[in-house]
Amino acid sequence: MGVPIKISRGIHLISAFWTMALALLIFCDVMGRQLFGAPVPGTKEILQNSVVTIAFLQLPLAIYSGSMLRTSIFADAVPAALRRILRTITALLGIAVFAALVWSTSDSFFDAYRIGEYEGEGSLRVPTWPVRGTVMVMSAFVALAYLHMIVLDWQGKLDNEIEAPGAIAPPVAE
Amino acid sequence: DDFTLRIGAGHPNGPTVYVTDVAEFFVPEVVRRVAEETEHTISFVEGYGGSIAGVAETLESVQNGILDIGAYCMCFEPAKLFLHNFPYYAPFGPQDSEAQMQAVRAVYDQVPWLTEQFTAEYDQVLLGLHGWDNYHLGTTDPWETVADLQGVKIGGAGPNLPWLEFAGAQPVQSTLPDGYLSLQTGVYNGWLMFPSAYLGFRFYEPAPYYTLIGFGAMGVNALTMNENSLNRLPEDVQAIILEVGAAYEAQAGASLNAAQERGLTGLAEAGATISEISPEVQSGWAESLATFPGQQAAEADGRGMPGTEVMQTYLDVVAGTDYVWPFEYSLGN
Amino acid sequence: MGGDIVLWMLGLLILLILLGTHIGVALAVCSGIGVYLMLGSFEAAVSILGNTAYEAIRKDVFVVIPLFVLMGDFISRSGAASDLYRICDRSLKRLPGRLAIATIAGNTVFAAVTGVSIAAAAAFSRIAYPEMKRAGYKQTFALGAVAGSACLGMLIPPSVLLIVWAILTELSVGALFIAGIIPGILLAVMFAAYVIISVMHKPEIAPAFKADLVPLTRAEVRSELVGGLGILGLIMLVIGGIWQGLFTPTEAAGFGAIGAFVIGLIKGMRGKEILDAIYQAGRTTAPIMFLLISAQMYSRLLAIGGAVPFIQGLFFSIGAEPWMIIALMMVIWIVLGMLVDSVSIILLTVPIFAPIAGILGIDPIAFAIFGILVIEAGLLTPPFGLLVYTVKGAVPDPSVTLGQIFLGSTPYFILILVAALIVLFIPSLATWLPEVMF
Ligand code: NA
Ligand code: NA
Repeated sequence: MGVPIKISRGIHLISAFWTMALALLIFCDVMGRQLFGAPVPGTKEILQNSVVTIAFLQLPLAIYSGSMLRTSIFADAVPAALRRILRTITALLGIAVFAALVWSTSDSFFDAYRIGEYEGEGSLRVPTWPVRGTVMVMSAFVALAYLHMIVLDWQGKLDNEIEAPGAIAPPVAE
Repeated sequence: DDFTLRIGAGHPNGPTVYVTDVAEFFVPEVVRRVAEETEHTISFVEGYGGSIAGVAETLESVQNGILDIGAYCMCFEPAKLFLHNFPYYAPFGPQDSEAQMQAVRAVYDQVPWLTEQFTAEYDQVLLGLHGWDNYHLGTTDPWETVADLQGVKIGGAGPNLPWLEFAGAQPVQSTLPDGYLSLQTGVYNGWLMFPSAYLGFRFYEPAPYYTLIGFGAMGVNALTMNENSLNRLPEDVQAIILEVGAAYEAQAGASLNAAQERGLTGLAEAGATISEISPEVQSGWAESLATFPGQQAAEADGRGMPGTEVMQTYLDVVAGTDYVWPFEYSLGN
Repeated sequence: MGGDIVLWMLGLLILLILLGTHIGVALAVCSGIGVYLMLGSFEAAVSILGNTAYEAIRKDVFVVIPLFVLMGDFISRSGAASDLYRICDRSLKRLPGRLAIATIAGNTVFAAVTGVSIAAAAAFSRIAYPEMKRAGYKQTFALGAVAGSACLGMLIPPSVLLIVWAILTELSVGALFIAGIIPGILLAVMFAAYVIISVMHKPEIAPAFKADLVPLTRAEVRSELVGGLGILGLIMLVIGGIWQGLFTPTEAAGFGAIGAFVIGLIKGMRGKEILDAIYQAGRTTAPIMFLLISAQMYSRLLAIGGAVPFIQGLFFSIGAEPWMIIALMMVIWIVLGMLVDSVSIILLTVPIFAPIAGILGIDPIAFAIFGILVIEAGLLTPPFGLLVYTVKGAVPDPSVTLGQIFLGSTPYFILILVAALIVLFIPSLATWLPEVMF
């Protein structure tokens, strides 16, 4: 299995546990509020910034595992060789979109870092650069994953034509 | 020629006065005057309620030309437009929105840096200012003294949160659309809000106790236009846009006052319990914020902005009117 | 000019989707190109993508999606879902298509804990579909029940759509919540009636469950009891929490995930299974989240292109009878429903449609429920039926095709439109409860 696929699985697992941790955070926040009148400060900020972060952390594996939503109505009806070309075009579009995201978010990331951009006020100030940075770095990874998928595809290494080898297997199977 | 301009705001047209005035006053007035007074016509693509850019994205969208004209609360740009939020840093100022808008305008006129920052750093021209009408506090439970608010969780957006912290309440960063459910479920038990939005977002249903505190009207909303978009237009059209922008600002105070009155009447009709705090409680609250204006001025100075100059000008301008602060702030410490 | 570009991008979007491009990527590509063509600025085109990627889902309410998916994964992997369905199967013994009806009943209840239909679709794809498949239900029939009944999530409170609509039209959120209850139950009953009638007509699409012919062991009875009561308890915790005012939907989702985790532990899930549930939930969530982001990019293209005034122009130019105007609104909602997400549809159309409805003398609350029903129906239509894609992404069965899901959901699509018309003609279905309660 390729190194990028291993990394994407590792990142995915981290973000999956992060989701579970958010459930725990919510639990503590509500229990604190109901029982002691003391919610966990900043819960809302953590939640809203986490949801974007988690989504982007999970994207590379979504590409590798063929989980991205698409329709196969047309593809199912054409020969395998044409299907591969269509997949390559799709992946190239994916590269274009995520490269554009890298470019665009790098601007706002460096700006946010430079001027110390934050949101919220008082004790709840949250800097915006970490999330912007995650979107930027993960978009680069996603673009790379699309590129990797093209290579794997033309090497004939994809399972079911859409899954990179080792991307779907349960995490502790090895 | 016919020109098309994209105009937008993060808040919806309807519950928020500064957006309603864009849609009902600025846009039709520009259209009418350009048609009547020039050889040209102008039409607008309108995107309110965040359909083109959200509240925190409008400044940037105007900067990079996605919007030609944007209306936004500068409170959602706490870093970039830190100093423009100066009315928030000295609360309990003018209660009347017209007086507030005049005071804020005077500060902009006396400290040109404020106007120039839009052009110098964000490639846009300030067409006119707008604001929020007088801020009060709505709660799920009745209260009497500031001490009753100790530890009470109160929702708010942006720069007004420190008002709560100084009073010992516990601020929770929130947005208007989230407010209703959050009040209902007890995520927080109060909202710091002007009556029109309190009515518009139906907060009186979960939180019927609306207490007139008088944090003051806040002239912190801006209508700006992308500099290139403006320069591309014929000069006579440019002049009309600038004039209507100024007129938008000129009518803002009266419009906000009307909204305040409408909001209070509406809240009373809807069955909210409206009460007033005593002058002592108000001045006590203001006194708890004694160091706040100086602190914010110093922070702005530290960011390379003329913080002390702007804050001092604002305090002086208000002192020069017949309005009396419940507590006399000073920046020296 | 903006209108032309929007139409071209619409064509490109449909082409790309048909060619099998990842839908999210197709939406983003069309948005980027469309904005570039309209504004002539590459920087603007790219920055709208970047801004939207950062802002679109950065709200705590979106946490409900990963959390409810996780809840569904725990429940389905713990075996508790099978328990519940076996219990339903026995208690609904005489009803034809009882697992499908149990799906609808389950969704009706689940709708009361989620504000987003796709969370219900994702959860029930994992909970209910495998059970119906095991029982030998026809695939399209089973998939239709899952996708179709997930629509209830947007109608029965809490609902993001109801909240957005209420705020845009200055209606009471509370009143609109209450208004959704009776139409929601009506719709659920119509769904169930459809299942019963079609199974009576063609019994082979939903064979009766056979397992209860073998007497259960004590351990099996105990296990079923734990699973069944666990799910009921979970629903009580989540719904009860929201309706008692203890939780927001986001918090209920957190409690739901933890509660489902505890049920999983009791039912014997250990390290590997837990890890697996968490891992697979993430694989379900990420594509949905990216779709939500890119749908927002596309709705911004529509807004920038002035698609709204273009549509408003249509209304005034036809000078038609009221019923024709209503019909036109329905058509526009359904067409938009093929292309963009429901919240965006509301943002784009309601500011125009609601005043027109007011002029036509339609009660605003009834109109809201009518509109939300029609917009929800769009969640089931090709090429971009969000619920259909969600089900496809979430069902643990690679043999399922989108075509099967679309086909299976068609009756539900029609029933939703019928329910919408019923509410339009009998507005008191929506307005009666709010009038009583407020
Ligand atoms: Na719901
Ligand atoms: Na659709």
